[in-house]
This record gives sequence, structure tokens and C-alpha cells, in this order.
Amino acid sequence: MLLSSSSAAIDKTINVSDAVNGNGSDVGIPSSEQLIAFTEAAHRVDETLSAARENLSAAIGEKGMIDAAITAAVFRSLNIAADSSGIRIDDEWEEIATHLAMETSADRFPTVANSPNIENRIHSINHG
Amino acid sequence: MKRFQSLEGKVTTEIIESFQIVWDHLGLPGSWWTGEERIGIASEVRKSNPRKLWENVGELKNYAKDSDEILSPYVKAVVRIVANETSKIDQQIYGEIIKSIGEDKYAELAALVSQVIARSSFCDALGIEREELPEPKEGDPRFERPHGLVDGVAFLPTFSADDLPHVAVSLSLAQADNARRMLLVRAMYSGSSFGEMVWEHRNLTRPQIELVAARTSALNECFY
Repeated sequence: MLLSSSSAAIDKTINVSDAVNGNGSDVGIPSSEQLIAFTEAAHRVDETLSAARENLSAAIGEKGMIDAAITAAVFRSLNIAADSSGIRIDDEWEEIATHLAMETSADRFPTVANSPNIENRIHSINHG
Repeated sequence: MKRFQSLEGKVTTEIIESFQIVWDHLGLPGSWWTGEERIGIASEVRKSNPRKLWENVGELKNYAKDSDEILSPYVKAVVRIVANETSKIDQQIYGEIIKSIGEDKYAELAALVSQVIARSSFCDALGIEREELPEPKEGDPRFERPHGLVDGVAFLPTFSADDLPHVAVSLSLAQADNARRMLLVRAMYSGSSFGEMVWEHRNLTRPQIELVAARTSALNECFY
């Protein structure tokens, strides 16, 4: 949601589906491919991480790479808080969350069940 | 060597201070777990991370709830599910955990996991050595539960969200640890600018930050 809103604030149209599912080449944000490759490698912590770190640093500088590491780490922490507690999507975000879920297929994630209003909205759209 | 010295000059003072505050409280008796148990939870998080693809906790009923160790195999399994397989926690698994350890202990456990993961994941992403866990301090838990909790925001009872995002109050049943968790979130994410769509306090633009955030959440199968 905030990806769309923050891009709109600077008059950028982005491809949210590519941001969530693709390699980043069509997202429409500078250095998206390197940011996504780094985020994926940081999640796996495997042998690709060192190269992903170097590629991202080359694209946006070491400070930018560190900022990406900070963000990936804090969002993993936020994901844990959200899904261990079972929070539902906030009321004011339900409409946009519904459309983004359909656009990105994020409704495939099991934790969509924590937000039954979203499931109902998607069902209504899909089945009239 | 001074704690977190390896991070100086690379991250903001606010981040280092928030790590310090988390570490200062990690080994102290909490609301429902002793200091020794809290360090046991932190240790289990770190041992199980990064998770190998083939490592799954499986069914919780297969784990013993009694043990002579600091944490039972069952509690260690709950820690690993919360840390690494969080999206599997549905109403049924939540109910099973609560039946065994109760809401209060579960909330504190999850809040601890989220704090330890923030620090460990950051070190792993940068290839920095993880900080040693602090020594546990003796003493009994405070056995305190906050007043004014509401239902309807999460599986767990929480404080009313009012103008805050639900995630801010998600683990507020563990009031003190939730506050420290949110200290990390403020330092590592939004600062005081959450509602502003153009950020100038980070090295990445806000869309770049939200791109990393969106992909991380997708990797963790987090719908929220």
C-alpha cells in the first residue's frame, strides 16, 4: 500500500505486481532489480548474498545498501509481530488492500484469513 | 570491544541506541518469563536462523511440554514457528499454543522473537558478526497484565489501536516488550515521518524502502 502511495506522491506510476513477484525490471523505481536481488538474498542468507550486496552498493552506494538491510530486517520483525498476533488489516486500508491483493495475488498468502473483510470483498468482486 | 561498535558510522545513533535498549532488557526478568528463559528464547531464535528450506517444525503436539531444561521442546518449537514459519499461525495453531502456555507468555515470547530477529537479520544481511547475547539476570517475572485490552484487532487481546496502525499494538499484551519492539521500528523504519510519503531521513527514497518492505513481506507470506 505504502509503495503505491509513496510513488504516487512523486508522480511515479509503478508496477506493484513486479515489485512483489518479479525480478524488479518493470517496477519503475531506480535500482529496483538490485534492491530485489539483495532483499531475496538477505532473506535466504545464502552464497548469493555477498554478490547481491556488492551489486547494490555499486548501484546506490554503501549507505543505500545498508539502508536496504535495515529495512529488510525491520520488516521481517514487523511481519512476525503481525502474523504471530493475527492482526487484521486496518479498516481504512481495506479497500486499497483488496485491490492490491488482487493485482499482486497476495491473497494466496494464508494470513489473508486474518482479514475476513478483505476475503469477502475479493469474493464479491470475483463473483459479482 | 564496546557493544555495537561494528555498526558505528554505518547506521544512525538512534538505531544503535535502540539495539542497546533491547539488549539491556533481554536478560532481565520480564512480565511472564524469567531472564534465563528470555535468553533461552533469544538463543533458540538465533540457532534456528537462517532456516534451512527443509527445516520445518511440523505439528506442535509432537513436542514434549515437560523438560528439565530451561525451555521445554514445546516452547522451543513455538519459538521456531514464530521466528521462521509465522504465516502458518492460524486460529487453530494459535488456540493450541494459548491452551498450553497462555496468552501472556505467548505475547511476550513473540515480542522477544521480533526484537531479536530485527538485530540478527540486520547483521546477517550485512555479513556482520552477531552480538553475543547478554547474561541473564536472576529474579522472578512480574506477572503483570495491562488493563484496558480489547478484542477484535488480532487473535491476541491488544490495546485499542485508535489512530495507530494495528501492527503497532499487535503485541501490546506484552506492554514493555512491545514498546521496545516499536522503538526498533521507529529507529529502523519511519522515524517520526510515517504519515509523510516523501522521506528525507533515509539514504533510500521512500518508494525504494517500500519496495524492500513489500518484497520482504511477500517472502514471509505476510498479507498484512
